[in-house]
Amino acid sequence: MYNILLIEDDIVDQFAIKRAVEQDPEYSYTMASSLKDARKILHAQQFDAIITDYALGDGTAQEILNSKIDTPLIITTGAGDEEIAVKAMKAGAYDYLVKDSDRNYLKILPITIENAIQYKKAKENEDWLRLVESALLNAYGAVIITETDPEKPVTPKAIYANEAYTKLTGFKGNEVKGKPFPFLKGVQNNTEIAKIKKAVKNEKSVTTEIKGLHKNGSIYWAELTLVPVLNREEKHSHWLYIMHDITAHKLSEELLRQSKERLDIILHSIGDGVVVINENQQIMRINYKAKELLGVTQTQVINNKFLDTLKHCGESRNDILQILNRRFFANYELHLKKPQNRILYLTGNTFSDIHGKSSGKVIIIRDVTKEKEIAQMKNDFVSNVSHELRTPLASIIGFSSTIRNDKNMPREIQEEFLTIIYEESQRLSHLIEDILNLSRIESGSIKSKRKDIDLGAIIKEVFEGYKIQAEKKGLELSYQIEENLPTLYADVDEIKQILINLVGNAIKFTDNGGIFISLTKEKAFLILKVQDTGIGIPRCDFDLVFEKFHRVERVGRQIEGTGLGLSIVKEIVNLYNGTIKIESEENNGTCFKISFPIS
Amino acid sequence: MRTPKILVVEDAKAMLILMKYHLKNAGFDLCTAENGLEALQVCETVTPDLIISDMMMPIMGGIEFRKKLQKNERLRDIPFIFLTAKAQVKEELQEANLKITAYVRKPFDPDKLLDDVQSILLSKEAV
Repeated sequence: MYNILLIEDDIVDQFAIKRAVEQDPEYSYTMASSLKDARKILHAQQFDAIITDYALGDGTAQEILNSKIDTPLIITTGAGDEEIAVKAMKAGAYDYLVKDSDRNYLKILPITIENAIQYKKAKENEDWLRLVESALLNAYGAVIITETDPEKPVTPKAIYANEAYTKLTGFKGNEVKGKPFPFLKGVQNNTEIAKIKKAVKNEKSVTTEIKGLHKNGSIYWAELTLVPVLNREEKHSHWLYIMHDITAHKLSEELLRQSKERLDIILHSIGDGVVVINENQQIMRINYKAKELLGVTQTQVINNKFLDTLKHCGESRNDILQILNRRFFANYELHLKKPQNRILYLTGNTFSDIHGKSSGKVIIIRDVTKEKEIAQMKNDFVSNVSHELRTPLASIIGFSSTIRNDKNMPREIQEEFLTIIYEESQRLSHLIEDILNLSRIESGSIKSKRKDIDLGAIIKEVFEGYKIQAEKKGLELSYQIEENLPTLYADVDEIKQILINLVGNAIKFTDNGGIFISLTKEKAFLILKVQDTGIGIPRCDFDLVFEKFHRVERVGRQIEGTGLGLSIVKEIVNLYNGTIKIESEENNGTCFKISFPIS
Repeated sequence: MRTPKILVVEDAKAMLILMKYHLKNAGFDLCTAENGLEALQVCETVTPDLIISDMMMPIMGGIEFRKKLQKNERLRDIPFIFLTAKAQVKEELQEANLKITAYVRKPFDPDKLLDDVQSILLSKEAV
């Protein structure tokens, strides 16, 4: 229904026009008989067309034209007033009709109205299109419109691309025109392409992410939406492709991923344990080392409460609970009893969210068990060394001052004391030698002079050195060396030291029988054995004998020596990646078996 | 006055010879043991007037030996001297809660040790 305003002061004309207009049921009309009336009506209502007499009782239609309303205006004038009509047309009237005496103009009137209405509609459409085009042009999202050829519906041809598209891809509208999917140029991901083509085939809208190639060769990321557009007949005729640039988002996503990956590598490569918990004390991250140190065996602990994963730690959990409530702690010493004895240093710091509110903690766990052990061992070693050094020194000082102060001491007692002083000095000297040797081997400060050596020759040399000492004690010293043995890449002095210490010990701890040295080959190892028929070593002391200053306690036996001999042997064997084993029974002889890998 | 009896507990032979020489020359009666256990066995039949003991010895060390003595009413109050090469004697005594008359650190001056022995025995007599 179209609304038409009729402005006419002549009642007869009013009636005639009304009748002409009323013939079309599409129209409804409002009548105004003066300019004043018309003004009032126009103020309150919109019309699709206005038909007005030019000369009205209280003015002319010029006044309505001047008010620049959007409605098409059809002027009626009396015969002979064409000049006025032309003037009105120039001022913006849509058309004019001359009121002829036969009233033929009324026959043309409906067509004129119809045309005026169509004109108004067209003008409105044009304005709207201009608006939409401008919106498209200036839109932030890239837009392509394609036209679908009914013959080839799967390859719609682009007819339009906006500025944003050019900005995103580098391609201008005219470079895109006629192409079916211009944005797929350079897209590698086949699943995305298939998804788009399937949507086009099924005339369904789809949204997907694509990685496209900019005209300049760079990569861009876009979120792409395909929307089918229907024409007036509800038939699919066009596609709208809308693309949003998400490159920056994707880049930051990628940077975030990389930084996460880097963090993962760091986390799992460093020697310290790292646990990250959130404000609810749930685990956000935990590295392998932390799991190892805390004895966490479950594989999936992310999001679990930190303390819940430490149920196996027993009492230590309470200590951890306490420090977790602190904002910061450094090198908190935790003595873990379960699942095994460990001394851990815990350092924790709180991290905050954007508002400065605490949102969790990073906890670094350092295993200092070894360090503490070493420190303790060092301490023990130093106090042992000082004790061992003072003991012979006490004799030397004691006896020498006794001789000095006692001028009347009988000659034979003097001789006896001097012998003791000499022996104790020797002992002190050996002790110092041994301590230095051990510390040199342990610290690796001497580079051993290794070459291919014949172990058999060294055995013979040591044998010669101990022969007389053994004979004096009534012991039989012998050796057996397998023939055609390979050489060993080793330092002569170090190997000699092993033999001297083992054979020396054997003679010391054997009162009856003898000592037997053998060298054989078993697979890729040279086996050196020193066997005696002495007092033996109780099984419980097998490991202890290699400890520094340890001596097997025996009633009624004065033990000479430094207590370092076997420690030195063991350290040297370690240098050659060898092993040393004891076979012994108390009071039934001892056999030290050393295996050297043949390099 | 009878000759005072001194028990020397020492595992180092040379040290034992030295102590014997000086204490005998000074006119004391002497008995010896090579470790704490042996010393306790000696004390079963003998009640010495003074005990001089080493600390680090096999089988039973000086600390253990002293602990055992403190539990025995007859032996508890016998003057007791530790003669040792150990560096931290005070700390070890405190840790083990042991009460002794004196301790002498090795190396030591034999004449000084004799003086100490004499004065300890004299003050005991005075009591």
